Amino acid sequence: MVRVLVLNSGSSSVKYEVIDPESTDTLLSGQVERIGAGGAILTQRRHSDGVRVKDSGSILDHRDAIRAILELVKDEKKGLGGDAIDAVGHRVVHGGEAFTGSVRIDERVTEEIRECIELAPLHNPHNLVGIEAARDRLPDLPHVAVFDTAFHATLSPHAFHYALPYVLYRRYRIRRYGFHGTSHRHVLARSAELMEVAPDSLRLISLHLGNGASACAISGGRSVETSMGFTPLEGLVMGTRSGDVDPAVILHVMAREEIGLSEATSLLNKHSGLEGLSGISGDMRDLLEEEEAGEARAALALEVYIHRIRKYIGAYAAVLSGIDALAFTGGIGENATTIRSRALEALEFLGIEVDPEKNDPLVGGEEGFFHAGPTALLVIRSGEEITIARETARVVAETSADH
Amino acid sequence: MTGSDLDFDRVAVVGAGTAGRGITRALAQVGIEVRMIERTEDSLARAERGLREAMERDLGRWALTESERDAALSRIEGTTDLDAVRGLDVIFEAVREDPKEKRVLLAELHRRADDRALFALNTSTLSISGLAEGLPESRQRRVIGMHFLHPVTRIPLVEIVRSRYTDPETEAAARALASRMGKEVMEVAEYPGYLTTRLTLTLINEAVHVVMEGVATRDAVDRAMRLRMGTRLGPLALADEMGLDSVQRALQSLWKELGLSQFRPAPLLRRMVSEGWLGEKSGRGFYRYDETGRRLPVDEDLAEPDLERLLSGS
Repeated sequence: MVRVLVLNSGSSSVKYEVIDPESTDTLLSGQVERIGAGGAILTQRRHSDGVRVKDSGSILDHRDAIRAILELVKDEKKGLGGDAIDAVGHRVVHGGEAFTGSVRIDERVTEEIRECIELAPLHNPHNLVGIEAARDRLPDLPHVAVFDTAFHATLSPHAFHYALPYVLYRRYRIRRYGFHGTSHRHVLARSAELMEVAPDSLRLISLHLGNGASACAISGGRSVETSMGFTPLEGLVMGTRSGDVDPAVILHVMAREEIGLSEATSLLNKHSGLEGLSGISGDMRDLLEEEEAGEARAALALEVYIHRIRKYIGAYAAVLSGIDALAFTGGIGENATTIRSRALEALEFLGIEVDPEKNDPLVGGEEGFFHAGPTALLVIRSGEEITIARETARVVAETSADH
Repeated sequence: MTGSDLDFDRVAVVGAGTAGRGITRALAQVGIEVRMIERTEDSLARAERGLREAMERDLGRWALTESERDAALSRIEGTTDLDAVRGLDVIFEAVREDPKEKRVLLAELHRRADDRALFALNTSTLSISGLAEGLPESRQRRVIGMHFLHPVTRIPLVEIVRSRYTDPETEAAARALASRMGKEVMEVAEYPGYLTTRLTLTLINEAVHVVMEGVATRDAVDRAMRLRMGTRLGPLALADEMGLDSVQRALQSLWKELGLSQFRPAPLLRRMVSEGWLGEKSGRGFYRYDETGRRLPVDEDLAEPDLERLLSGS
């Protein structure tokens, strides 16, 4: 049996799971939060028997965090024992144009990930620190990088170019990269599995609706269009991110309010979306409650959110010349039954019809179909970690001959 | 990661006027715990109130979220006890731009601080070497100038000034600290006004003269210079943001140090300061401000008709 440690290093947290990529069983999951502060919190759960660890202590940096994680993972009593893992899979947000698929990590790869920092200054530095710390601790195990952008490397030039001066693409690689790729890839694989068809035979629209949100049009097993762009800010309305907006609005607001780049960046990323529009909350559950209670601004925010999704469904149906299936994933996609049904209302002309009886029970991680019409409608449990584990096992198997 | 073995996670800021509060916020907002030290309970209470108000204004301009504000506030601990610097590796000095006051304070800090502690002095016009003179040699090496620009949380620049005693480790630590705070470093030679203060003050003082001499109105000066230089604020709005009293004090200091007449504070500026028109912080300077710090259009309420007429050109 092969076991993969999947690491997701953020700015002040590291999340991890140990997964058997063949059975796709998660054996262990945990996280370290509040790295850098005095009271870091470490939690872990062993899935076979539910044994939990909850610890707090001083974890100063990612190196410390990885050390603590490995101790817990290898713990004989609470973890999986000394030989717990055979390979490490790292989530990396941005692979730029250099990485079109998952790769085994060596010095050259870390150098290229470093070069992508300019494209993802909020994420790649932390991903990289996690990689370096884990490689130091586990020098004998294979390490694999799985990129959020890689699944979208198949976008055609007409889909990834912005209609801006071409020189900006040449100088700064300004283009659509797309994100959530690992999640959309999993949605494709799992949808095909449930539908019992080959992945490359599907015209699929995948909607990842979580705190961040993106849509992806998939055909022939490849991503052909996606809503996030140069950064994860474009496209659908999100919890606190604006999604699509006329770029002139930002320039206008910056001039009128006399704000600078950092305020404008914060405005778009942290003060917009559902939260900015409703003035109440960026959390879907709160907004649904407030809407129920008659709050007009909550209702408005939700209508804008849903309208944006519908626009993308229509656009992607045109991009794909028709659709065979549409799948939801992510915290909102997996749980907000009313958002699903409202987003899909009156789309019979696309073969889309919701069966409420089937839709309502699909919450809390339940997967399955909920269509009454010819277009398959599915809910897929988010599977980024499982995909990273699978990719890691695949890359290790393919490359172990050369290493 | 830090490029130094000093602990950057807990630091002290001594003096919580405009500069000290700005430095405190900039540190707390990048996750550093700050002991903010003021002389009296009154001035400390004023500083804490000012800190909250400044963060409210930042919320209003989308620079912060509520949870970021709460997290930053939770990292700031105000005190009037200078002993709070004990055990800390980094101490920012940000008291008034007065050489005597700064020297007395440095001696006090030296007695309380650990040997390894670094002193970062925030001055725009005084000599770091001169301020460090009375300290023992081992400490002089650990003293460096870090001149932050107001508003500290918004200007991503710090001027780093070595004194003739500053050792390379201290400079490396100051650079690492600046980078943790997200500030770009400009190393400048120890000379009154350094780079930004000298150029900025020249521009502001000339702008005041232009208004005073009737060459152009306040609005024309600011608009023209915004367009000319491509900046966010014109020189008069910038002076309001810096605080007209601070501008006047710095001009006087440069006038004295450099002997250049362009630094002689314009009479209009002096008059405004003596009227208590200090800019954004007092609600009135070249412009008027509401309680959230938002600039207001000129209204008809002319408490000082002469001055108001001069500024509006009507």
